[in-house]
Amino acid sequence: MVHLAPGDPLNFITGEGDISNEQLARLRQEYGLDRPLSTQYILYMAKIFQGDLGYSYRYREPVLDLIQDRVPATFLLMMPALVLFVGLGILLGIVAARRQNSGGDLFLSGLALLGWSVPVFWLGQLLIIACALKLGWFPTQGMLNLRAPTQGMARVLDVLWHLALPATALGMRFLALSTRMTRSSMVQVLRLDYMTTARAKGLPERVVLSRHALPNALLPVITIIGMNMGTMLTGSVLVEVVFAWPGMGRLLYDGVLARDYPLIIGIILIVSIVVVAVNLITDIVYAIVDPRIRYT
Amino acid sequence: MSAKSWLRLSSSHAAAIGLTIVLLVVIGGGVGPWLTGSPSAMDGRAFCPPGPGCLLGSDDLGRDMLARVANGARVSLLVGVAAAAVSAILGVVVGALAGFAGGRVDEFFMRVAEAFQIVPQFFLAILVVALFGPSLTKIVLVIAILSWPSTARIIRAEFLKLRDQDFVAAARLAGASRGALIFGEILPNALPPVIVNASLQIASAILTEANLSFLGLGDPDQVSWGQLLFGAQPFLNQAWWMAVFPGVAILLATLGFNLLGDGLNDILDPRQRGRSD
Repeated sequence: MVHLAPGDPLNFITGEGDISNEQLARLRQEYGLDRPLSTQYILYMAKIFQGDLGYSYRYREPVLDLIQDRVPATFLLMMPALVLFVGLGILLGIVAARRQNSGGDLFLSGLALLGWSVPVFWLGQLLIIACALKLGWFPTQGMLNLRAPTQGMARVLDVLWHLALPATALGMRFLALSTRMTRSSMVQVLRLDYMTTARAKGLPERVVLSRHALPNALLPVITIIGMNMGTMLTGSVLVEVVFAWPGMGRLLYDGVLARDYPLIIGIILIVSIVVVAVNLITDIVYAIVDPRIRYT
Repeated sequence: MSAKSWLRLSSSHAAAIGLTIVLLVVIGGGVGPWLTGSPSAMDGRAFCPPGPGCLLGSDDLGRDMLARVANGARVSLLVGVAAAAVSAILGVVVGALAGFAGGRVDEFFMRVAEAFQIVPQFFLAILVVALFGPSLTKIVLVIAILSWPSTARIIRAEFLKLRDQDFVAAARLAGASRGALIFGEILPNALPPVIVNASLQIASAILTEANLSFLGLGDPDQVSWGQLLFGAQPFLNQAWWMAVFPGVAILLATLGFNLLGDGLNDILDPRQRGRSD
């Protein structure tokens, strides 16, 4: 399907320089582009099942190796969003639900809707303009300072310093999502009869909330976060492009620009597998934790 | 007014505020371009900071940002509304078929819907646009084809609920055909949640278009907000206004449609809370 697209990867390989038709034909043969599409497709599918995603036209390296090199950076970018910002969102959601319909609740809910509506990459641009360019607190892009120490604690700090802005840009959407979901889920749980029972037993409010309400309220929140793994990866691509973060998203962007078909398809394949796997795991965990759900 | 009484009215307030914002953006996109002139006229100074003369500044080629943002409203709204409309029609047709027919047909369509929902949609959109070339029509179709399942599920659930109710049975006994039952009796009653969903879908389609454009996969012949932000990225250091104003426009539009959807949701059914992705 990729081959229906206008443009020819050989244009990128050969660049702007003069090149004879014979040379083109030789290159075409070398990359297997002279064979019929059906043959190319069957060969590709056969290789995938052997764990071979083919060679990148542009980098002339196996696609799988390229992706493996970039996965840690993307993972590093997503971790704070998943842990820090989701955690904070859950806290804010509890606060909002406890004082349901108060001014504070209204404020937090409004803020969450704002965070959900803002384009991820634009937030990144704003952070660059405000915190990096005007204030000079953080670097504008990359993961490491060129003159940074190459090892030890100083290097870790350098990476964290570069991580702060992109992680914030990526995490905001999940902060908003988890606040919204925790709030609405807590509000529903707090209305149930067993909450009244727990309070009637004379338990302190803190115990009622943390032991009785929270575990039940968190289930749907965790499911929603799991189901939004695709959103997270989408955000990661955009944030990596804004901050020139050397992760998988940046690699995909470069692949699109260079019409590097094996690379594009390889990355999208891996992303799809990850998303489907996370969805499956979320479903299974949900079924284990919630005794009301049984798959037959 | 105290916060409490404000919030008691807030279900309708959210819808009202959302509607106001949406109307503002629509009027801006409808009337704005008439007042501001061509978005591609290079008649000003390059990198003119916002101030008298060029209200929102100018870009690297001396094009007026106000004209470009106003024109962007047209493109972005068009994409959002068209994509949501096509997706709603697809979803209503599939959902109505599945919900009315039941059995194997239902099973089949719901499995297809699940398959569409589980794949990472934005990545498929990237793939399709990168393959077939960026144009407004293709972007609209891709977004619609990837986003119909939520509508289909909602319509199906409504159909299952309404199918066996007395007024439908009465119409059936009166000899109404299947078509008349589906379109005349059940569908009108199943539509309200679809309208809520469509509002949320418009917001999400505007965001998706902006995301695609920011990766250089927007229609190169059209000035959309995402396109403007794509163009602003190399000049963040020189011209903050190139990035700030188009982004504010996107934020307003998506916030407006999200508020409208949320508000309508609370008005139509206070207990139901949907995913807005």
